[in-house]
Amino acid sequence: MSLLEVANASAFYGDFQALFDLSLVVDEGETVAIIGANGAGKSTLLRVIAGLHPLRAGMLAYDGLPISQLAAHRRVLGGICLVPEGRRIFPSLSVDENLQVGAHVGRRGAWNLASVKALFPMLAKMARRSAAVLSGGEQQALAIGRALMANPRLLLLDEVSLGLAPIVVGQLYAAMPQIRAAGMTTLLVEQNTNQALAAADRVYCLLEGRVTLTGRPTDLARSQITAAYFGF
Amino acid sequence: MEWVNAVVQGVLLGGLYALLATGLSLSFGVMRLVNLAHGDLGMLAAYLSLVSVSMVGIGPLESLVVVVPAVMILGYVLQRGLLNFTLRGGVLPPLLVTFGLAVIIQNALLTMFSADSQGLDAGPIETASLAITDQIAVGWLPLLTLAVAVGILVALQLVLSRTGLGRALRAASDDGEAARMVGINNRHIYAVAMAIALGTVAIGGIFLGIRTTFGPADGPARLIFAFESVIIGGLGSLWGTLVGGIILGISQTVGGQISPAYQLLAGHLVFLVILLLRPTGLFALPGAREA
Repeated sequence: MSLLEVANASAFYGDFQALFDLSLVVDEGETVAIIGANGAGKSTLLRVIAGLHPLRAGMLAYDGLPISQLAAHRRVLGGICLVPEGRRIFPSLSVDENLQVGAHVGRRGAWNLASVKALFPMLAKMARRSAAVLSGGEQQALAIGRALMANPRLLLLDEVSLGLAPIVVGQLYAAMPQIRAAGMTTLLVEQNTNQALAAADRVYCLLEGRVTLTGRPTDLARSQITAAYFGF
Repeated sequence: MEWVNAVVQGVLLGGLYALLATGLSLSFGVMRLVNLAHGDLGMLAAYLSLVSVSMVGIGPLESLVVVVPAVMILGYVLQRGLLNFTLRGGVLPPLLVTFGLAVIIQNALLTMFSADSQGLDAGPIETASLAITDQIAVGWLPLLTLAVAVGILVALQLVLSRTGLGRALRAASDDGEAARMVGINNRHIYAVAMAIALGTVAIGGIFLGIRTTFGPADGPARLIFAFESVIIGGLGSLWGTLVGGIILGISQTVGGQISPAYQLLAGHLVFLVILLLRPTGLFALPGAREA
């Protein structure tokens, strides 16, 4: 049984349809990447899964149960945690407080203040500083750490590399094996195709709200991905 | 010496204004909700105290134990059942809904208690005073009011800075949607904030009712003082609200010392001058969003 199953999902912004009859599965322990150009519906899909955007039609099942009617905060309680596009850290809270608020729902697990800071040493040095003064990379690390604090079962990562220097992106992705080591299931969205292909067990390529290609990175040819990405 | 006395009395009056304003500051700070019924809810608390005084026979200060929790529950239900639904459409819907709520409360109070002025009789403490010098004496009641205001602000500050509830409140205030992403139930958190906000204005309303007479339509006039305190101090800053209340109180008593006719005018003028010189208030938090 898949941990996450999205079947025939449609989502709208007003009259604009962002997702068309989209289906996707993520198995427990897998790292799945969603790639695609701007406006392909990648972020919308993650927001639908996290409960921040309504599903107009289709089915959303988590751990075998339908969750499309469940409020966002209840999904966090169930272990679905989103690291949102743009990081969305809390600027008036300190770094430590941002992490502590991540543990708001009180799920038990391996992640706590100490283990998150061990994963991202740059956060340990800034513990009492306001989160607003962090650099982009530090903010992204904090956003990931905040989500980990909830001890998620399904981690949703939205555009971790967006707007960051390649070296910083490298540092952040270096943490992925440690996050996966505990059996975390991850669904990540990336515009950086190479980064996504390197990190993922399977990829879905989205184009204008539809899945145009899916498979294991090793099974997919460059030309196939390019065609699916741009719709040539 | 008269002037010193005016300033001392102004500081004490500021305690009352801070009590009336704290909840307004909190609900704006957390929910960006401007509650136009805030003053009327304070008056409602004064009337609830009046009812419990006449029915149970306790004093108004003792009635705080009953009235404050009752108004807090009302605040929770009000936010959860009504005001939460107004938050999605920008600043206008909450203004309209709370304005309507103010009208409803005023008319309900008018129907139930008539337009007669009422007073809460707290006994000897109302007139008892502490002589500091030959010419300056401070009343125990205003002193108690100021002490309660400071105590509430200290407690609120501790809750906000040290507890999980406080973190959740600040997180929801920073970014409501991001708060939902970490599992915070915004509707519940906002309702808790409104419960605290109305708890403080209930205390303010009862102290006001002991200090002066009050009528069913007094809410908006009290709301103005609360607003001015909040704006002087800076939106969303709790200590700013206390300082704002005190500045307003001093302006009024010093103005009243010049001539009784200038009492309210002086308060409004000082408010306008501060608004002109520092539109964000004296203690606006850096990065605080513009209202």
